[in-house]
Amino acid sequence: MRAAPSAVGEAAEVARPVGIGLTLPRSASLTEALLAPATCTVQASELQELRALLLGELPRLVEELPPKERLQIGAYELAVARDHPERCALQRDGFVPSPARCRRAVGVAAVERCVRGRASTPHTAVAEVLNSGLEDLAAAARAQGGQLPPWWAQWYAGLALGGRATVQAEAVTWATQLWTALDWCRFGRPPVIGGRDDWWECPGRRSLVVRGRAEVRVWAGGRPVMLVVASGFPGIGWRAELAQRALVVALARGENPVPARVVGLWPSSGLVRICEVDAAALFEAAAALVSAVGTWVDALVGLRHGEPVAR
Amino acid sequence: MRERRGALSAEALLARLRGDADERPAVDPGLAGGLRDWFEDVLGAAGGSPDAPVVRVTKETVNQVLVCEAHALSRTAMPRTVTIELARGVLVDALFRQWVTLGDIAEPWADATAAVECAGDEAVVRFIGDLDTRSRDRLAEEIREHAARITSVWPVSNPSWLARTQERLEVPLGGGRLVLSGVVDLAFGAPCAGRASVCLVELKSGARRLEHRGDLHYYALLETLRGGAPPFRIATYYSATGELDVEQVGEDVLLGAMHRTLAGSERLCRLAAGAEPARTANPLCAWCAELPGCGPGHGRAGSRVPKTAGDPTAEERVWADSPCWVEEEIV
Repeated sequence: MRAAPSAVGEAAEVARPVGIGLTLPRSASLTEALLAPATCTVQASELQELRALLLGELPRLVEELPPKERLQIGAYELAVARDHPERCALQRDGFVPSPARCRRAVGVAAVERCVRGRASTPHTAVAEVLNSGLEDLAAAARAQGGQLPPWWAQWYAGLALGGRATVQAEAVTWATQLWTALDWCRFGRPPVIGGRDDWWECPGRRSLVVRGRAEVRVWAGGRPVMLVVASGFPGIGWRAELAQRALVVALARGENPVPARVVGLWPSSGLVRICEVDAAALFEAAAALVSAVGTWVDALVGLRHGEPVAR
Repeated sequence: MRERRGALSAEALLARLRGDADERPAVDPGLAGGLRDWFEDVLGAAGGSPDAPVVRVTKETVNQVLVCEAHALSRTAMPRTVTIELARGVLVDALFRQWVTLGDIAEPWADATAAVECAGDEAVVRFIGDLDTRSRDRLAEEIREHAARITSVWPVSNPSWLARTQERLEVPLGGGRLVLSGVVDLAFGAPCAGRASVCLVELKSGARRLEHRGDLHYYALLETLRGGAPPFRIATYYSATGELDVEQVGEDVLLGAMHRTLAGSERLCRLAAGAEPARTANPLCAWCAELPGCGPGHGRAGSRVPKTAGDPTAEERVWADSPCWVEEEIV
């Protein structure tokens, strides 16, 4: 596995306070944490340095990729490279939808309906989102234009009642966890739920795309703030995992402000982690990105040559 | 207070689950943090290397390791074996989930198998596919009976209850070296804002067993550690009989669950670190894969079970048929 460049690696040593306590109701504490004023800033010169560092490292790493190979790195790929590098070579199968894989897509759309006042509960909203997906699919099939059907609609339409119930149940559970996690009345203007993913394409001869995703985006003190919902519980790499979302925004959005913080919520464990975004956090995320890209490139090149992947 | 009665009407079942909203206990804001600190202190004192493998604690592993460490260790090495009882449980769980979510079950067997297939439980799908026609028909008939009982007794969920099905609970301790985990069949109620507000329900398709109570207490503990507040009620619903066991959650329940989980966790950590497992004779010895080399197992006197090792199907039957032995051995 390739090591991160030392200059980037050294930036990862900074430690800051994190998380929220057990004060009840927890939705109020989490909302306050999300909306708190920014505690640190990132200078333009630091962003330039970061960009230069990545542009110096990443094109060199992906140069070894086969010409038509496209490497896309998001939170999932980062976690696989960090925790299970041996699995990188196994991740090339086609995407197969499942209840667990589409609960987020259905869930954010449902919570969005609740926040906009178009549904009173996640249970109702999820049913509406699923029905709406089927209607869009039917309209598309009749070539009537309108809304493009969501990616899961075709698969969902082919399921029997029991399968559809499982999809709905997964999405309701996911959406309810997000819906009850925040005190939605406290937001001055409605937050963006889900929203478009952030993308940054690394310039170079080979294709490398980095993706950032957040479940809730709000503004606090003139800077964006993100809430990320994750499964399980925060592992040792949680800070880089959260900062990666801000890194993609910083790289992709040019002059727009860098997020003030990224808050991670792990509903299964009830844990919250807060990453205040400063230069150190961004460099830490950059180190994790470089390391992950190296691991994935090694795996893909090894796979091409039939070699086992380093563990 | 613990209540147990026969089959109920939908209204009676709902009333027992919800209780009197005005009497739900106020939450001690320091309780969850105190329990967590207690766990951390004991597990921290027990030591353990940061490089040691992560120990995942479940209701099953706690039960097993408290019965016999050698038995628990042998089970970790065994692949998941699907039995007719396990398949029935998975299928009935899927139907219950469908009923809570949709309020509708069209054709129980088709719905349940479609759900299991969609969820990707390949072992159960394969097991069902491999059943001969007679066994499959018998299982399908059983599933229909369970579904009929669920739909006739279990109320259709109101969306305002905020029902969550198959909700995963994971509590990392010791910096993630130990993870208490479980999946609750049904949780409902909004998060706590001062008074306990969540009810947990476990669905059981098999016979009543003593350890079901410990399982529920374990889930109550996990919910407390996760959410910062204990559930106000925990319940087991038996879909074979329509019975509902309901229990209120007080500090005694949580402390009991904590002591039991701590005892099990300490043993599991010790085993994961490579310690020699203690061997304790118990009624499962005859079916334990460790039996051939186990002195206490061989020496267990008065057993009415044949001494042949490693037959999980038979073991499942013993667990189902002998509800009281755990009480004699470990409680």
